[in-house]
Amino acid sequence: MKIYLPWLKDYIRFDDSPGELADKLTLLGTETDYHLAQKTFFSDLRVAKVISSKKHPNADRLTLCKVQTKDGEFAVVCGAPNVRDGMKSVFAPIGTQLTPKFKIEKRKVRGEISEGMLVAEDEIGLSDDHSGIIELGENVALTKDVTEIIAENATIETDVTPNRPDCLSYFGMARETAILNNTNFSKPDTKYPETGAPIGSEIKVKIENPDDCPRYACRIVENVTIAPSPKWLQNYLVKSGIRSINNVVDLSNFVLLETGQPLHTFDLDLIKSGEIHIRRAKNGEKFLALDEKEYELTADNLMICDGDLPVAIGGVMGGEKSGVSKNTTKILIESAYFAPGIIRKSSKILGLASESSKRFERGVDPEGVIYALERLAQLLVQHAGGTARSGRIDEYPNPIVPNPIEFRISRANRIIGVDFTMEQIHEYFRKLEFTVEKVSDDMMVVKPPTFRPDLEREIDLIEEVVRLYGMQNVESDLTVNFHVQFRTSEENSIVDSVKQRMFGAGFDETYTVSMDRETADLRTFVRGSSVPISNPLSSDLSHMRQSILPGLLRAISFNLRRQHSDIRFFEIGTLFESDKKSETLAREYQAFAGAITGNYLMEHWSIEQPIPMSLFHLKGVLSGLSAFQNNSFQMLSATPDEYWQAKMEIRHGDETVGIFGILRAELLESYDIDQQVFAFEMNFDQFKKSAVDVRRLKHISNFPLINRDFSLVCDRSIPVGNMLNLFKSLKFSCEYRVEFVKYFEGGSVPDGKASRSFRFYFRGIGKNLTDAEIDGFMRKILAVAEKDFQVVLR
Amino acid sequence: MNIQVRIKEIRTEFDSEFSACLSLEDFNNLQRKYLSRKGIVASLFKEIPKLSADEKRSAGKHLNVLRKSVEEKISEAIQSFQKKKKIDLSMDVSLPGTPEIYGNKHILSQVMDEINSIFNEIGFSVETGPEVETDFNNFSSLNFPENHPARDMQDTFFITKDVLLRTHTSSVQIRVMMDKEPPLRFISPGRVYRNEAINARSHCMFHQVEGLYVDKNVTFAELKGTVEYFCKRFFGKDVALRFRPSFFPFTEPSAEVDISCFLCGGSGCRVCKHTGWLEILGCGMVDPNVFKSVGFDPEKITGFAFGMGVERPAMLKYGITDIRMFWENDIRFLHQF
Repeated sequence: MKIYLPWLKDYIRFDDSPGELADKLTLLGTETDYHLAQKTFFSDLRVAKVISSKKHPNADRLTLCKVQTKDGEFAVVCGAPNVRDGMKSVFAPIGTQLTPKFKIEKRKVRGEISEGMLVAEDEIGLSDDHSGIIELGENVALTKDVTEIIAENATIETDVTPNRPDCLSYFGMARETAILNNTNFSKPDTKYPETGAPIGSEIKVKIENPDDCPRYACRIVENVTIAPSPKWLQNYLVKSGIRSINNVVDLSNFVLLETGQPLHTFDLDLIKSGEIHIRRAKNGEKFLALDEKEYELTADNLMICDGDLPVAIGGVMGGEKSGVSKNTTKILIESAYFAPGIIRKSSKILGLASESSKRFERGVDPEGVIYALERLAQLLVQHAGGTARSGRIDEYPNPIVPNPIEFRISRANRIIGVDFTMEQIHEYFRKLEFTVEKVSDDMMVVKPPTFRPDLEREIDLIEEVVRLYGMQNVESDLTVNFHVQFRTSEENSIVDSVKQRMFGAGFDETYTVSMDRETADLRTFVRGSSVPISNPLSSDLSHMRQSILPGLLRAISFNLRRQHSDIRFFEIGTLFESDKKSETLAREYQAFAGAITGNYLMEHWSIEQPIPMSLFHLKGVLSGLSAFQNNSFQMLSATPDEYWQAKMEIRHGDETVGIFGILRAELLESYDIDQQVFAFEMNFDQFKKSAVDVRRLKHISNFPLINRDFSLVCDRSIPVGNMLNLFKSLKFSCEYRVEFVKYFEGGSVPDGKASRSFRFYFRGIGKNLTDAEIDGFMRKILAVAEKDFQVVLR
Repeated sequence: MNIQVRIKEIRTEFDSEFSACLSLEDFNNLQRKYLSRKGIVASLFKEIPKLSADEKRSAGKHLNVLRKSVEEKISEAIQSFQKKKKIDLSMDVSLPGTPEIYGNKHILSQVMDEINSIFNEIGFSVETGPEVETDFNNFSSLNFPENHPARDMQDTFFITKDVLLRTHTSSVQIRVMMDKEPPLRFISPGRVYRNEAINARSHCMFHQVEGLYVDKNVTFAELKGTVEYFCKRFFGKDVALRFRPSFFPFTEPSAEVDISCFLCGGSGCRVCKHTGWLEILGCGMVDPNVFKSVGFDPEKITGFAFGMGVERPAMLKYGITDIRMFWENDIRFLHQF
């Protein structure tokens, strides 16, 4: 809310600069901004009195003026419509640098000398107002510093938290300012004359349910003349961010901003039945509101009715047909307290929010209803030529009385960590206008005022104490009382170690969006149906994702379109599937996915040509991860399908926990990718469970390493992996390992056969191995290979 | 046997042996076997004189072709083994090094890891929870009344009326408090969702780290100490802090924490909107209603909670101007951090 400081000063005196006040209010809990940057030329400006003015001889719209400042008299040619004898304004003398490009100089305007400029607000950067030169009060001294005047006329902007409806008003901010400056603020009186037959003879009020509308008050003001608002009123509203419309609407808005109590004005001649009836709308009932839109109502809308005919959506917006128009003379003022819940529902359902609904749904002051009613009646009498009818209606069947709250100083001290005394607390509560009754040395019974609906419990009062004491003043306690907390698992260290390996293998970690299209591609291990969002941002983000791979492909595509074609990506993230048995209706998995494309070795002077990425690079990376090294995860060849051109399944026991392979070109095309992509995804929850720590030192021998090769010819349909697994499973009484080194077909190898070369490494433990021993090992290897794969030694 | 046929056979044999060679030693052996004085090729040449004149010419021609091809293949293979040595001799050490490809941890992971480790130092463990949550865990138990404007502070993605995408990781606090007894001290980092348009300043998903400390006598003064420790460790020990009263449904008293702008040193700049302060964290004392909803007695237990975004401090600290960059995965972005 915008707070125009001269208006605020109508209720309270303070000497703070706008910046200081904004800072103090912020520290008291209302975040407040003061935007205006000080400009260097402000100190050149002068208060000026127009001592004479006459029409420019050669230009109809220009005026020749003599102005007086503290520095002397100056001739000024002025184009503003509001310049007149005797007024005071702001003068920019010769030499003032208004903008980097615009410096005031002595010059002739249509033949007449001008020795400076009377300025409008926009010309010195105060606002966008260019309607005329700035008007200062008649009492402003010529010697007064313009910088000071600007500060006094500043607007600050507050961002009020939803628990503080009282701060959505000038009274509220005056009250906070009074607390800060240890002073009081005063409300204007609401006196005015009343005449004529009592209001009760003309109108009655019937509240269908006092729970919806605990209080409803109204008054009649007659003989009103609709006209533009006086200048001061227009200025107050515009500076507070409200458009000026006419005197009646403006005065109603004035009281709204002043008190925080929303008011509504009806043209009483358009209320035919003589009865205001407050009831819930019927489902499907239609209503034409002030914004000229027709709304379809539900039983969650509270309606103000003329008899049975709706004339306003209570607390939200008035109706087109009963509102004040230029012909209105007889006004019914409504001032009510509507229950916050119903107004919020009503406004939410219609998608219609207003300055009124904003305040009602947060809770206005039930005891402020009458003051605001009287205040508007007074102002209509004073500024719209109205005469007030005798009496008012005030339907308030069950007065709202705040519950007394028991407050213990010991409790406050225990929560805040400061030793407050009874006197200190008393003083704070006095400033806050609480009614306090001391019960013991520790306890008091507190009744907060009705304008503070947020104060219901002891803890709410404790917050008030720390707010007034100043959070800044609470001394930080850096003692850490250590109770060691055990981690629920070692999961995070597994995440870390997997990530480390991936970084070492050149993979960048990505973050992709967890939402996807409905028919997402490429599910690997998630099998349940997807989780739809009922109010998605777009159809591309309508479901929770079931695979990370589409996100990775989009990221690859994004980079390809920027001419980056060598990419290794991985991500560990959450996948989702529907689970009707879960309270969240969803089951979540951690998944680990990756995708590579482009070159493995980039172009470089040391190599003949770049080496492209292949499926086996990916396989090599995966094989290096712990769950594979512990042999709890296996890779098994699988049949290619619609997504995968070549495919392996990652198995844990009998369960498929992931897939890796080569993605099909047609799929990649739909992501605008025109080069080969190798990808994997696996269930990371399973991975973590399987990655048990089995590390035990294996003996390290210092005897020499001996290696022997076998080139074995067998049926080409036998997978090398099967042979390798067989050799790996063999045990010898020494250190032993085996590598596959070469594949060959053709030449002397018969059709349908292939030659595979393996290299076997042996190292004796505790002694050197003899040739005879190694020959024995090799015979054993050949024997099992002959038996299982019918190999022939080449 | 016809010499032509033998030449052909030897050719096939050589090719297969050649392809089986793995080491320099293998190739040297092969060279000896075929090209030495007593080698296979030489022995074939020795048979030429026994042939007829016509056969001589043709066999000589074919044998020469065979010898030349065998020589070339072997010497090329041997040279390729020796090539590296040759470059060594003429080495220009100013040549660029062989590019080693390192992968990079995403900047958000780096920031979250740093936050986690700072809190680990002062006794906070890490807890996580699901991203699809119940309204109870995300709102009701955290003292968000139904039909209250406080819910408007967070635009929510709904799955059903009672199930939603969590709008903050405070839901994890509820889960842990339901499950365990005080004392509890942990942080909960994770992804959260808000139904907001995607633009340079906001995204429909981001990350949060929230913390909770619950015990018999936890005070607001301790909250200040903890937050101060974190901010100074994370942003630098010279930053000043400002606590100002605010409102969150799940804490009372509630505070918003600003740090002095580390870009302008507090004198005011575009990033801090000329206030000299940057809003960084929300915190407060756990509201008694939250304790009641998880079955703790607020008369016996007090506690504090705090929460902060991860993207925003990362953007401030590293000068990232567009929040969408975190999700685009442009490798030029990923490699910068």
